[in-house]
Amino acid sequence: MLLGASVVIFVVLRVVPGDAVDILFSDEGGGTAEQRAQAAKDLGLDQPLPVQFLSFLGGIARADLGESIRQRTPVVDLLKPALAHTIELTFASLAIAILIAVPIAIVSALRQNSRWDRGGTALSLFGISMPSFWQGIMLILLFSVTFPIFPASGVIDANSSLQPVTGFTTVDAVLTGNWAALSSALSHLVLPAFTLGTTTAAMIARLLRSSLLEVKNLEFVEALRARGLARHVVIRHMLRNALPATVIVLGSRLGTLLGGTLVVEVVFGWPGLGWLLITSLDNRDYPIVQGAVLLATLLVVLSNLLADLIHGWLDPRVNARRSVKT
Amino acid sequence: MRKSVNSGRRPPWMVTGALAVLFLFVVVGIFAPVLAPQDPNVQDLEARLLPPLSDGHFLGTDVLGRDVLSRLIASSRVTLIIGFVVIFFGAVIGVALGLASGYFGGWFDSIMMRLVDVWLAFPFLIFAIALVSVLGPGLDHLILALVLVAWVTFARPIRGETLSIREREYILSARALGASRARVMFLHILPAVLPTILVLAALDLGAIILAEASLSFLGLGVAGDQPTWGGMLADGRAYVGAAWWLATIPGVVIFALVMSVNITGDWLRDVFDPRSQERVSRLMVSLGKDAVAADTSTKTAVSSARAL
Repeated sequence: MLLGASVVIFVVLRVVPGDAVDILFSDEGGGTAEQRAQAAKDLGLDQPLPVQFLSFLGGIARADLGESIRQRTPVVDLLKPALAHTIELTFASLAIAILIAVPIAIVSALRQNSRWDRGGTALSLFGISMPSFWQGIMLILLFSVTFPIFPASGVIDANSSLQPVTGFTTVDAVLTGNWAALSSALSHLVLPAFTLGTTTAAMIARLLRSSLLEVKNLEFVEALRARGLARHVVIRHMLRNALPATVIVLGSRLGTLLGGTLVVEVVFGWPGLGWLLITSLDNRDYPIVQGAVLLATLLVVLSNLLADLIHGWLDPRVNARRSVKT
Repeated sequence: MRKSVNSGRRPPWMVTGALAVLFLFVVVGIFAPVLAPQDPNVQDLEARLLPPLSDGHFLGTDVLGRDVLSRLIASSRVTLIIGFVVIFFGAVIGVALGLASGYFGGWFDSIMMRLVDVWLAFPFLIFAIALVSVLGPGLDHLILALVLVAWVTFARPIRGETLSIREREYILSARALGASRARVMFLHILPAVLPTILVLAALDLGAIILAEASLSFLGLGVAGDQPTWGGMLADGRAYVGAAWWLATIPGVVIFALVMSVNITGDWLRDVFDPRSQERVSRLMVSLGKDAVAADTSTKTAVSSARAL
């Protein structure tokens, strides 16, 4: 899987265009033939493709992604903090998404075709059709411009002196007991996390609702009710059976979610992977772009794996069947 | 005697409204040059940042004094063209590969489905960004990037459907009469999967429009002075405090179009297969992941309709 992904990245970034040199020199009217040859050599583009591919793989294995053209720092050092910011934002938005989506899905499924169900369904349709970057801008307009409650961009106030420990702003603030920094970090987190969270929530609510509707009519639910179990206990059992399908479909959509994160990061000037990717594109800082794309893919592949593992944990039948097969 | 999942869930006026909005967009797109009150690129520095309902500028003007309404209309055309062209080519490629994969089976099928797996795991937008950034912006590159993302939506469901249609008796009869493989695939199986193709196309169109808007917003869309909704949003973002309408109006337009497309897609899905949603999620619950992979129905399409 990962190998497949790295082949795709390699093909996209190297083979399809072969024009990295053009991009480098596009500011300077194309450059001379010698300059171009030298640049191609520096980038290793004069080597045969299989050799290029192997050195690309070798670089990945050593976590060596080259050096930023503009900033003259190793790409890895730029990617690390960006990754931490992206992960932090993702977790915050997932938490918001689950908090919104699970109740909506439960109410929708239990009272199918009721007014509540229609409202919930319409809400998720709303969330799915909403361009997240526009939602972000509207939130900025409302909560940063009209009513200045939350800051419009960044992760933390520039003057809050926070000792980096883990790279996760909120975690660092708690670890160092820096409560001013924590409140600043949280207030910066609210708008982007909410923007992302609502989009994800719409997706989760749609998936979970239809899984719950299936489970709802299974015999075991009736059996639980017959035994006189309280409503919330029955719901817990239903959720347990509806979640695996939701998790697995959600897992297959992680790439999409990450794409959304990227755009929202740009809207809110959140210095994560997406923001780094886009600013590096503007600067034509090619090695960073490549590293960020690679890391993003790696992130999606790992998250897919995680979704599979969670699926197996939620639904032991999957593991049992797999071990029978092999 | 279970009621269909969607019965009574979507009031009829919603579908009618969605179809009306879609129709409106198509008409505006087709007649864009006639309808636009002004040249979308004419600058008038005397009339910068006029609010909506100003004299001669119904939706106001942007920072260069260009008429917002005219720019919206001009953008609608390019958005619709991109959407339909991408869906068309994505469907042609995806359906062809799906048909072949399902009909031939064997190693070709295995390779195709692994490829689809890798493709689905890939972060689409990042893929498109990488591609457009390397090829450079432009209408053709944007369409190429989106087609490369769109085909996979069609390939897997069509393959699954082909698998089951292949076993029907009329296919057997056709083969017994000596019909070639290509004839069986394109004259006998293809018509049977057309409704699925239509549903998939409708469900995917919204995602494609959103992806195009995102790329334009990031400055990787159509190059030159062609206005796009995403690009207008990006420009308006800088003036969100001073001129709220610049970032608000294009977003409302994108939202209205995508929402209408999504409602239409959901409706088409229910029309062609009222039980699809129910059946598939039951399969998924009982079988776990493999059911998703093997599943033949349109639910897979729903789940891969890539909302951003």
